Amino acid sequence: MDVEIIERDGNRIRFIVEGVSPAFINSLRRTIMAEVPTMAIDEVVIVENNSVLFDEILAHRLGLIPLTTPEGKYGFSEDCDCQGVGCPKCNVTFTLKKEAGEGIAVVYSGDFESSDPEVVPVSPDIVIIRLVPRQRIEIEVFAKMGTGKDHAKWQPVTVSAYKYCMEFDFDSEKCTLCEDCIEACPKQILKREGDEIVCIDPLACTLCDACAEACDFDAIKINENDTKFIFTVEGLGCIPPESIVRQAAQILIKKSQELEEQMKTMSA
Amino acid sequence: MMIKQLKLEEKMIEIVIEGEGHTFLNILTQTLQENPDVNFAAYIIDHPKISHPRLVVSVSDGTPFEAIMEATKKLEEKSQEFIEKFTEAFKKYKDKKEE
Ligand SMILES: [Zn+2]
Repeated sequence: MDVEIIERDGNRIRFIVEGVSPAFINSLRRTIMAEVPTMAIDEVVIVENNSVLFDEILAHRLGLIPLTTPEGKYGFSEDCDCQGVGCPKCNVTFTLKKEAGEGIAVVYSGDFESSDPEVVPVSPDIVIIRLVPRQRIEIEVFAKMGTGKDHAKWQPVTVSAYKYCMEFDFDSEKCTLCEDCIEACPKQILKREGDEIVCIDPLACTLCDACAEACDFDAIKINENDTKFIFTVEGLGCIPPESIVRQAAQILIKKSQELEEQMKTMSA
Repeated sequence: MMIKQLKLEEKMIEIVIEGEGHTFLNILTQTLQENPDVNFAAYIIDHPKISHPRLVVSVSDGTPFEAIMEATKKLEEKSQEFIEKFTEAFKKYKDKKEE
């Protein structure tokens, strides 16, 4: 197995994995999306809301605000000593009070006061609601750990995807150097070098097959390498992307150990 | 994860793995199939929302428990290897970027 990081920028990471099966990489992708836990607002107590938004819509909007999640600090409420009731060990409390004075007031995610400075909205500039004069909201919300399996608000990523790496198969005996393939490529990654057509950026290839179709002489073949993958993960800012990937693999390990344990007791 | 045994014969087992889905079962059956002693390994989820995956494993040699335990061990090693290689690659990338 070989791993190479090709890009790490902002909340994004791109890497190449070589020597694994499609099943493994797909499990990793699914785990990243559905089982890596993050913090999200789950319960909302509305003291007052006389804005134009209904309570339900307001609560829904609040749930979708991504929150920074310190690794290993909070566990699931169900596994906590409080047995899912909610306590400071598994819940973070936010309060928000805002009133429009004479003008229009905009309520931002940054207006929340958190009980834990490590758990705050990833950006203070997310607009929650606009208030006109005499409108006022006062709410108290509770955030807890959850997974994307239960609700998309707990998903740590916006993008978790992989594609097969491309193998460019060029037959110089069949090629007539008409350069139709170079024209056809939507990514413009084919180039003529002497009497050969070469791919200058295989990672950018989308495997669309346009070059092979443009060739009337079957000189080009695009093969998918199903043991080599380009993986892209784009986080929401809750957890750094490299940590998301690592946590996902750890979840797979944990599941395997759990099943192994169970099989041991069952076979005994 | 809760396991319910539905059927157990000398060379065959049928179990329900509660709380899991395609994410884990797909890679598990694939790893099981890599074992030459395994005749048959497959799972089915009857209803995507209300059912739990049902796994059937049949072996020609040894017991189905052994086959599953071997597969889980293999999967564990693979994931561990991935974490190590990924961490190493990330460190390398960071060092290179700082230069
Ligand atoms: Zn608790």
